[in-house]
Amino acid sequence: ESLSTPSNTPETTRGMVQDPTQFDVLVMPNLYGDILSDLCAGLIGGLGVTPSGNIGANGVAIFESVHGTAPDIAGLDLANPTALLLSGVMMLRHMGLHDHAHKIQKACFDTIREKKVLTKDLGGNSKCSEFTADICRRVQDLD
Amino acid sequence: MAGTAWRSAVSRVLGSFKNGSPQPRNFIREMQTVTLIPGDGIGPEISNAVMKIFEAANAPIEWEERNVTAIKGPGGKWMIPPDAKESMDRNKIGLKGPLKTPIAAGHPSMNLLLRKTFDLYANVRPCVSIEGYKTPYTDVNLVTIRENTEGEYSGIEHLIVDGVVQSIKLITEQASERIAEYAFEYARNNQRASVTAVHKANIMRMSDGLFLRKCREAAEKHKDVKFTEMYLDTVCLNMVQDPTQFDVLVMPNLYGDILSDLCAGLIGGLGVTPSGNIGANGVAIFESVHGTAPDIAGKDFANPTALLLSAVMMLRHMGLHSHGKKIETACFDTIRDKKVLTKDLGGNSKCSEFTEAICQKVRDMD
Repeated sequence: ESLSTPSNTPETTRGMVQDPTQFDVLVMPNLYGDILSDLCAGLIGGLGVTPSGNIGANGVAIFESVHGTAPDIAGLDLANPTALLLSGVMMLRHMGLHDHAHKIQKACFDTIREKKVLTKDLGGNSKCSEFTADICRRVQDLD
Repeated sequence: MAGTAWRSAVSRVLGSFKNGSPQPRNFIREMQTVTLIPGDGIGPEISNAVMKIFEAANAPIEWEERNVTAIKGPGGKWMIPPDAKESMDRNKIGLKGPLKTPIAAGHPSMNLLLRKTFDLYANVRPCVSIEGYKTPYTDVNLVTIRENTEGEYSGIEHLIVDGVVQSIKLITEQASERIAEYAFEYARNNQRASVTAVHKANIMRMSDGLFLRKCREAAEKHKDVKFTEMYLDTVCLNMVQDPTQFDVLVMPNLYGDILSDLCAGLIGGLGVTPSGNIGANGVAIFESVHGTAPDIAGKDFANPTALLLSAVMMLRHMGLHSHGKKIETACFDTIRDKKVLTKDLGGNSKCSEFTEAICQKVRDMD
C-alpha cells in the first residue's frame, strides 16, 4: 500500500513507524499533539534528548526540557543536559541568534557522535560536568 | 439444522464403534459454516486464496458467500442486505475482505453500518513480527483491544457559537465494563500474561476515569492475569523505543484507533495485519483492514496475507487451534523463505503463486 500523504492520526502514526522521513512539519489539535509529540520523541531516543518550546501570546516563549526531575540522580553529577541544551538552541534560533545556535548544536552532536565522553543514559560513563566540558571545548575550537 | 445434527450423530457413533470410546481425532469433523464477505477490489481474489489454503489444510469450514452493500430499508434507513444479516446471525462467525464506501452523498460508511448492525464492540488486532518481512522493529508480539462503539467517535458535535465547536466524548459504564471483561477473557483464552489499560485519566478524569475504574474492577475478577495502567503518551513513547515490553492493551475508541494502526505499522502495515471484531450475541467478524486496491484488482498481484491471518484468528476463536497453527506456520514459512513473495512483500510473484506455495507447505505438513 502506498504511503501517500496521510492526514489522519492513525495513518500518520502508522507512517511514522514505517518511514518517519516522509514527514516535515506537522500541526494538530491538542490530544493528537500530546500523542504524536511523545511518539516522535521516542523515534529519536526519548525525552532525554528532545527539545521543546512553548509559544505564548504577547511574544512570550518558554523553551524547556520535557523529561522529569530524576530525583535519584539529582546532585550526583550524572545528569544528561542534552534536552535542555537543545531547547536552549531552539531558543537561540527563535531569537534570531542562528550562528550561536548552530555552533552549540554542532558541538553537542559532535560530542555525542564521537562516543568518547557520554553520560550514562547515552551509553557512556562520564559525568555531566565532563560531558559539558567536552561540548565547551568543541565550541571554543569552532571559533 | 437437522442435517448437521444427523451427520455429527453418525460421526460420534462411528467413532465410538471403532475404538470403544469416542476419540476426537477419529471423527469426521463437523463442518462449520462461516459467512464470507469477499468485498470489493482485490477482495474476491484474496478471498479465493484463503478458501484454497483452507481446503489444502482440510479445515472444517464451509463458506457461505454474501455481499454487503448499503441499501435503504423500509422507512429510509440505511441497512445491510437482509440475506447478509440473516447469514451472519445464523452462522455467528464471518470473514470479510475490504469494502469500498461509495462517495455518494449521505451514504454511510460500510464498516460503521456493520458495526451498528452486529454491535461489534471490540476490535482486536494481534500484532506479531513476521520473520522474513523486515521492519525496524523485531519481536513485536502484542494485541490491541479497542472499544469500538463510543468514546470520541460518538458523533455528537455541536456549534456553540460561530467559530466554537464542541465534540462530546461519551464513555459509559456498560461499554467500558464490556470491553474490559473481554480483554481479560481474551488474555486468558490466549495465554497472555498481562493486560494494560491505556488512558489519560489524569486529564480526562471523568471519562477516562470511568473507563479505568471498570478495567480495575475487571482486573479484580481476573487475578490470574497481571494488570497495569499506562498513560497513552507514555505508551506511544515506549512503543517506538521498545514494543516488546507490551502484551495485551485495552483502551477506548480513539486511542485504539491510533494505537492499532501504529502497531500495524510496527509489523509491516495493513497488508499483513489481521483484525477481528467481536459483537454481541456471539457474533465475530474477522477482516483484513487494508483497502480495496482498485489499481491492482483482478490482476493477480494482491497479497492475501492480511485476510489469511485474520482467517487464522477466526480459526483460533472457533477453537480450531491446530488448523490455525498449521495455516499460520505455512504462511510465515513461505514469507521467511523469500522464494515466492508478492510485490508488496518485496518479491515478484503472483497472488496465485504465493497462495500455491502456502498450500504446498500446508499439504507437506500432513
